[in-house]
Amino acid sequence: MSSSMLNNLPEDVLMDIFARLPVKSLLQFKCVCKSWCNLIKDPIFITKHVNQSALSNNGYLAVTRQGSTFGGNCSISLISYETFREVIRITIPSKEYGKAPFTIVGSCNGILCLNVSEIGDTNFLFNPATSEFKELPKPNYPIHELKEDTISDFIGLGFGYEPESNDYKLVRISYSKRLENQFYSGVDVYSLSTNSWRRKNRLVLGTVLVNSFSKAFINGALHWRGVTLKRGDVRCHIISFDLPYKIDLAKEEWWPFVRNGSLAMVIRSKTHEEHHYIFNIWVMNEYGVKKSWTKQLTVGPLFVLKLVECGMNEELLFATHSTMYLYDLQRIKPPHDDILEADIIGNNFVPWVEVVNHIESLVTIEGTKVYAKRVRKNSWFGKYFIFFQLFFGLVVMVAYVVILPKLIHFLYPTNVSE
Amino acid sequence: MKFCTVKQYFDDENNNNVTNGIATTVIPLPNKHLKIKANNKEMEQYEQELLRNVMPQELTKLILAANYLNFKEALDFFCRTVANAIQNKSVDYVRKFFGLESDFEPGEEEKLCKEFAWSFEGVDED
Repeated sequence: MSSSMLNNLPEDVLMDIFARLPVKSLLQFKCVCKSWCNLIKDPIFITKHVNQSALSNNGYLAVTRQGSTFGGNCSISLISYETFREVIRITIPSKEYGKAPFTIVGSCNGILCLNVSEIGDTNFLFNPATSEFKELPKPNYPIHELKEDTISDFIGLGFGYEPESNDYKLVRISYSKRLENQFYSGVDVYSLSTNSWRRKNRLVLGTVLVNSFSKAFINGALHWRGVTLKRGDVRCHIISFDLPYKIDLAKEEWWPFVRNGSLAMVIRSKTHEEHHYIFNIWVMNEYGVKKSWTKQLTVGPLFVLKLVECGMNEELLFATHSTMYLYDLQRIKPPHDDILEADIIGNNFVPWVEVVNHIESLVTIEGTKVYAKRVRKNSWFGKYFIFFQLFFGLVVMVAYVVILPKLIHFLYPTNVSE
Repeated sequence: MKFCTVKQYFDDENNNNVTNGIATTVIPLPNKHLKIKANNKEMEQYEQELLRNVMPQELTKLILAANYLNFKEALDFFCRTVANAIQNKSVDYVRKFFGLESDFEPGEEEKLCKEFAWSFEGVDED
């Protein structure tokens, strides 16, 4: 019997092994032999790998960072769920738009959807693992002409994946009209498989509030925060579901997102302390059932501006203008009222930082292969940086106290009396 | 039940897929599983001990046995072990591990390596 039969492993067993490997290893192992290369490129395997990744804890948080002070391109930070430290920084490979402030619309199956324009017509798809970058065509549908520059306040974008057709979709909602005392919005949908936009015939009830990206892609539907009119009164509304109660817009801000597999919503209320807010998290326990909205927890008052995302393990991510905090509910016991208990994930993000949950995948978007500069952040250094700083400080202090007098003595010997 | 194929195996005497040695390793696994089902750590330790001195060649036989017996948990465990063993290792290491040789044309392999040069950084020492 031959000594090693590993090279005779059946293909589905090999796929099982490969599906557990990170993208980095898979890209290398393409070079092992032809059959491995073909297996790794196989779309069936790529889908299996994506599904496996979704189950494991190998995810990341993707955040955009400002370009350097010398006018460099924007970059995307990938923050690992294992250490909550930045592990990779990838520069956005766009000559034309690279310096503009990019925002992440969403991430599906390892593909990031990026946006640079306020009216949602300049968008990109980017798979940082395979370095495929694709500028999407502009939707040639008119946007309602609202007064001045307010139109961007009523435009929402959302990125999602449709498993039935294996297609990636970008949806743009924009205010369309007010009819019979009710707001309506138009919906434009971009499909990757046709690489084109289509405007839906039917209008959607309500209008999106303040240029939002859909943070909530669940049950095959995208959700935005919006408003409708009811008997002349402005009511808050998750576009297509009603909220549990009327929110007083003067005091409270709110966003829908996904928490632990359910549609959820966070309502931010002001407190008497400036810049301190209380966050109430509500969860729709039964999707589509209005009565199933339940208040799950209250966090605050905290000195932050907004809740940006719910982590894969139910951590809460808060942000100020450019700093991001990780609030681990399993570690921090109530009362939840001190942001200093949270970990700082980093700063120097773009203002109003947008964060998404992201995995690495080999999914192809048929974009152009670009050179995207990818820098591994040495987390070892980061962890011990504080000690380096302390050590350096100590050295400086010792030098000041011990060496300086000796130096003076040496330079000015006449000071010393014999 | 898990072992419909086991009966078939015992009936089929000319079976080269599963040797006796393997049968004694793989088959007791579900019983052990049930005994210490609640305690994952113990199971992990048991499995680690089991594989401590197993060479890649033996591992192949175990995998094929588990695959033939349709034993999902064991197959899951073995695949996980192999994946952990080769993760972030160099291409040469993996070739040795699996007993494979490169069958690329002279320029092809280089081209592939260049495409994703970043993935070759920070690879574990062999």
